[in-house]
Amino acid sequence: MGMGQGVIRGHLITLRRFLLTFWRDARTGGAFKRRGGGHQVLDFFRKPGRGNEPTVLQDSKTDGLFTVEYPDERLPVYERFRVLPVLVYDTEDGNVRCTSCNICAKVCPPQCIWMTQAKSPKGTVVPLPEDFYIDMDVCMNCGLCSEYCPFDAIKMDQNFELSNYERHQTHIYSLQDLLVSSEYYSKTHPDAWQSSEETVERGKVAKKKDQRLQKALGATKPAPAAAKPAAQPAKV
Amino acid sequence: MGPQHPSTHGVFRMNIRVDGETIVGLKPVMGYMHRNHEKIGERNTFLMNFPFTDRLDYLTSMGNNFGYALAVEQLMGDDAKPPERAEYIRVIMAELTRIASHMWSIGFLLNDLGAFFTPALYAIEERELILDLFEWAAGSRMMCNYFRFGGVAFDLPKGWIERCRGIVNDRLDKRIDELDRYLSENEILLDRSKGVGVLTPEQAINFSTAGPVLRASNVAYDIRRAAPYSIYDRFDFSVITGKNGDLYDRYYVRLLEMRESVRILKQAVRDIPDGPILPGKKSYQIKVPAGEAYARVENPKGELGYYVVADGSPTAYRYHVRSPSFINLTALEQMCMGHTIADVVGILGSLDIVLGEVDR
Repeated sequence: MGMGQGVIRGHLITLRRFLLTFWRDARTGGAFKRRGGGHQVLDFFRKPGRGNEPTVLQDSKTDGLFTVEYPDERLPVYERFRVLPVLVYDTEDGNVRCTSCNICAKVCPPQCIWMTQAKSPKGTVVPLPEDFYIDMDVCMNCGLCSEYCPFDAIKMDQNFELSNYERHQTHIYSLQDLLVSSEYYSKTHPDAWQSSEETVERGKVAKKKDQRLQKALGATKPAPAAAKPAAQPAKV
Repeated sequence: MGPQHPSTHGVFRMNIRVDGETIVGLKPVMGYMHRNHEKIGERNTFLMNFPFTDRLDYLTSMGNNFGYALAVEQLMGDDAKPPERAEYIRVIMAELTRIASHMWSIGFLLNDLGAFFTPALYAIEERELILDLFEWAAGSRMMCNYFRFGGVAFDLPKGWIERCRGIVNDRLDKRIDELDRYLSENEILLDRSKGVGVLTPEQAINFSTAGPVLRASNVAYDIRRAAPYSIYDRFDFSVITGKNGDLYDRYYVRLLEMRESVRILKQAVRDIPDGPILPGKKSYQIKVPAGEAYARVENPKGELGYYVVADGSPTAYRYHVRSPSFINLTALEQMCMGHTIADVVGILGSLDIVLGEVDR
């Protein structure tokens, strides 16, 4: 091969990429439009509403350049995508699923979970968390807590936009920050929610929880943490 | 010579003795990460250590998981024998990791040689697709935490294997061809890499280098062949070797190795059976009998070994990682001697180190 041919060939590959990208955009009607914007000329300057950004899925057939213009466009969020843990409470009765059994704290590799168990005024143990803390700066998003939670109470959330102005108090999430409704969870994790294991587990846990609560409530009224989430749910 | 590679910010530099522009001595200086991986591994229970292994070499987290799982499974014996499907999933994940890591390493080798970013961006595109697959199956792009003792954490989601087949069967080969056409005969690359950083077979063995660095020096040593683990003995692939042990060979061995990985993947996604992915029930309390085990895998960077001593308690008594990046670095001085300052950067890039693994 003569001198320089390899370089020229390399440039041709780059040129091919460049043209392929434009061809793809022309084919999908996006050549002269701001991605994520509308069809009108002025839409070039308009951003899509928050939450309505188009999702771009790149798969084996994508050609040309791979650019997703976040935040005007988004990558798909997969169901198992995990960022930070949340605690689930049941939408119907407002009960926290957590029994403060401490298993999540035991399997947490960086040990960023700690909790206090609720106590009745008499001093007997109530199977509910009085408070529950996760240090978000320490959490490494491994998902072991949600994997090994026997009561399906702790789950991994998919919200990754977590920027903040302060990094001390606000990064220690307490019970109120962590609580999400089972409705929210069923929306973000539809497959897991409908899976046979979780359905069976839900039935079992509901029964167990009911007995347990009856017992605790029968002994003393009212159970302190049980009423809280229903009154002011953190996220829905 | 200060932080040179993008991933060596603050934790790696080279003490170079020069005669004019020529290197007459070189000492890699590392050790400011202080992450204490091995000591933390002795505090953690066996299971809790999985997410930490992800963070060793963050480009190959599936492979890191693999080695650690094998080491502890060796201790647990038949209690943790992975079912068929899990074995296939493991191999698929490990080979996808190899492609992703080699893509990155080729892209960044060219970046180190001065081809600022065009090759790197091309290489990263395929890596993106693979990371999408990881995210879909394991929940995270890089810190996968996907393997468990005796299997994997979750079954593959619906549609995963189809997309994986699409990428493996229809796409990767073409893209590797394109990278090959784009780079392998490029005169600038040839000039910069032929005859630079030569490591003879004897030297490569004596420095106990591993992976593409060793194989580029014409030593056909691949743990997948030499000591097959998991189900690698079932797949048809060849061990790639280079001839001269120079920078170009290390680049080219990686490229050809990606082709072999695609070959393995094609067989694996064709044959993957249905079935369970864990032998028993998921449990966070893992009983590991007393004993010691060393398990190794052919990670993209080389031989990754885990030495675990258990004393019957829930935590390891001793936990040690034989990390390929660190050991490959020992050959750096030998390779740089007699070359110029500008070559050092390329030679370091051809070693493909990740500092998370060098200074554990």
